[in-house]
Amino acid sequence: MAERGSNQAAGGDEAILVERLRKIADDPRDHFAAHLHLSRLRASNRQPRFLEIAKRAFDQLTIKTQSTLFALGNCDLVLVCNKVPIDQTDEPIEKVRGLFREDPLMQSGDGEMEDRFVSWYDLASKDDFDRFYATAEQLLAAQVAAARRAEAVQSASAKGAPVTSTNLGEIERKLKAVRISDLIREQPAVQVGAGGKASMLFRENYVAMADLRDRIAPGVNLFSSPWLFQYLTEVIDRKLLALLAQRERLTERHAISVNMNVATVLGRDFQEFHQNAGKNANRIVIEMQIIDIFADMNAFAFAREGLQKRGYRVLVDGITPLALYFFDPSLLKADYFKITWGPEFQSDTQDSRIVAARETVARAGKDQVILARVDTEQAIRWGLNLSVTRFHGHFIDRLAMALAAKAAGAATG
Amino acid sequence: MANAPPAARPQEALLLEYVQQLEKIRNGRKMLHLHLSQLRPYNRHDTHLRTAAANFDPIVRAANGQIFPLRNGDIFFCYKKDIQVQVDNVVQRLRYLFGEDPLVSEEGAEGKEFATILDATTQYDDILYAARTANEAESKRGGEEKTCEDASSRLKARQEKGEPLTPDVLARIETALVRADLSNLVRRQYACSIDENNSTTQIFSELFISINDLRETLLPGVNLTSNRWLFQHLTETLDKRMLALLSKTDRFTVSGDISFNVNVRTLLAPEFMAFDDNVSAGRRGSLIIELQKEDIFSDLGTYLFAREFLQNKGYRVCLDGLTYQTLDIIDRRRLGADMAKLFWTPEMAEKPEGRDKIKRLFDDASKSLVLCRCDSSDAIEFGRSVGIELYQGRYIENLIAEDNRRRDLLKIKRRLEREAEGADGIELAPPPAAKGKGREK
Repeated sequence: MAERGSNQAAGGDEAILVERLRKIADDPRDHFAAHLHLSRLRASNRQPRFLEIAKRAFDQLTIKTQSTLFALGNCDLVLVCNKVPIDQTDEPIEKVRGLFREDPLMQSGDGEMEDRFVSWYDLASKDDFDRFYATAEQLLAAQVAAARRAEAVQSASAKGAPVTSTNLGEIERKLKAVRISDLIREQPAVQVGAGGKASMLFRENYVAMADLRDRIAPGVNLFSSPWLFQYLTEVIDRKLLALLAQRERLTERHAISVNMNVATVLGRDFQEFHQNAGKNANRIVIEMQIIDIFADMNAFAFAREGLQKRGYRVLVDGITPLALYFFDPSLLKADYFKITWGPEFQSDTQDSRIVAARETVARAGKDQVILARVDTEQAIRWGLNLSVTRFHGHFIDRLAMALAAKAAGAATG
Repeated sequence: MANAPPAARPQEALLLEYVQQLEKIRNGRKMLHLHLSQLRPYNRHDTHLRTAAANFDPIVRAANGQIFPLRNGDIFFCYKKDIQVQVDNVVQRLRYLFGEDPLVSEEGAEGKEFATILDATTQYDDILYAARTANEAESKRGGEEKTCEDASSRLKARQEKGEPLTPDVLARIETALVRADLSNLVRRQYACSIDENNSTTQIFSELFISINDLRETLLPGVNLTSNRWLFQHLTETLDKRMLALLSKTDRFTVSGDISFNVNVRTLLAPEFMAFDDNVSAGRRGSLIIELQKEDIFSDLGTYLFAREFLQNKGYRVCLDGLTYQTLDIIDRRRLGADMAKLFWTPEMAEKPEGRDKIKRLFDDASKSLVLCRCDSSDAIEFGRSVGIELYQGRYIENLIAEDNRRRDLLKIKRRLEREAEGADGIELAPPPAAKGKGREK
């Protein structure tokens, strides 16, 4: 399969697979195919670097036996074998299954006999052969269409060049000089009470990163390195603090939240901010990221304690539902924990990880947990299922707008 | 360091000078002395002390006071009486900040004093005495340092503060790294089991690139660790160089099990695939890949995938960077690593619940847990009391060196004995090989 790359545009492995099946049709004895539906994995598990490694599981098999692996454009893998004892395919396929063990695709429900991950075809049987041939043709058609679309899109919305040590200095200098006051956006966090009644918790103030990117580094993907991005956020912190200190935002009725690095909170700029805004401390929520917290737990504990004692509230941000299975945020002693929802967690409904998440919510106290990135009603339902009542996200924005309209209506009429 | 400023005078000397001048204008002035040097070591990190000092910034900027942060952590602050309220507020805030420390929670008990305020009008002599004492202690310490440290180590100490790592400096380093030969910067440190006689048995060794030596080689005067995020980025570049070194030479692969640190992201990069292709299947079982906890939690999905991949291939995975503060927050068992490394800090032994906590959390892992950064015998004493079997750190390196010395002495002694025997009697056949130990490592 060394020649793979060059065939991609023309229909890639799909075309070769169809071609191969045509040849097999003459004498399909001793042939079988396994179709691995990696396209059914969660998006976050379908990363090219993951798939590259999954393919490597078959290296030994394809070298030692008469078998071929086809890597399809939709991420699926197809293994076609000739005169290979079927047991020999178990090892590589189980390896791939193991790689994605955390994915719901691999977790068959109770009493479910069907394997959603692998479909087997005995090509010697006419029935199986015809079904698989039809599938292969469909895959080819889909791939050709997808390739055409991709070509059109690629030039327009390339993710951009990565941030490297070479361009970072220039980006930082521009960031320090640029105006960001007009790039600050707000997003409300809301408490949903009994009977669906909603009330405002606080408004997160954040910098619109896409707009900032266009201003300081057009065409650069600021998120390409988590570490260098974190470095840039420390610069943003300082600008944001200076802005907030002079803004009227703090005198508004509602509480606000801002993202800060632990190092910023412990630094000079925050001391200064506190001098100016300290009297409003009880209406300011400081959000800190998990990646930053874990890097120096001592510093975080110290910063958190200092903030809380001065009247600020502390929120731990950046927790995915997956992470709840692996650490217990309630021990961080923050006032709030923000769990970032994603559609890929929709399929998690009853498994052990949900149980872990529910336990964490119970331990932390449900009023401490805020479900973020709530873009659909589904997300809210997912949260309610865990007894979460506090939400943040686009779906909530609409709700908050309705709230505001109602309040305005009540005031005027 | 070509354009380094002349060595600054120590704060202690400045304080004394200031107090001497204060005599003429002492009316209406006060001196606050914060005894931060009496805090527990884990409350006395640089970040803590810097934060404490930063609290005085507004007053200092308004020219209402003068601050002297001393080397031992204590802070002296001289101010005019009329801002007493502001100073009280700052002290109150700091009491809160350090509220958990016995110095504050048990304040008033003998020797436990967090803050002292002296009035220059009536207690000038006490202030002068305190300043003199601080200055004498510092010059004594400085003097001792000078006599026992050679010139190069003093230079090193200065460089450790050094020029901070900036993006531009990082770019220079990464460019230099492409050409630099790092093979002579690779160091190894052993993880050992230790018997009751403090004799060590090497279980595996960690290979790493010495950051200090790297700095000396590439950019003397730059403090590579001054910015956490830039440093973390640099380690990704170093990972790749390390992998290249490991697969190129036999040098590191000759003896025993080996561990090394990489970033999770590196494991999915082509450089790791190339490395993996070069390692024989049998060899993988003796390789331990160490991953940092913050790196793991920055992208759990990738970690879970990479861990599965590594373990499938036969490598062992080690969860690195556990600390006393993090070990009960992180679910080590669910993360599914084969081993874990716990950083030793004295608070583990000092805190009343420390022993129980570690016993409870590592009950099932005594054979796969390494207590590292052991810098004193306290670490081993503590480790033994909770059933830990593996140790790593400077103190362990000393024990190994001692072991080797002992072994060498024994060898010499045996040779002398043999020679004595030979001289006594008839010349014998070549002496028999040393028994028991087998080949020396």
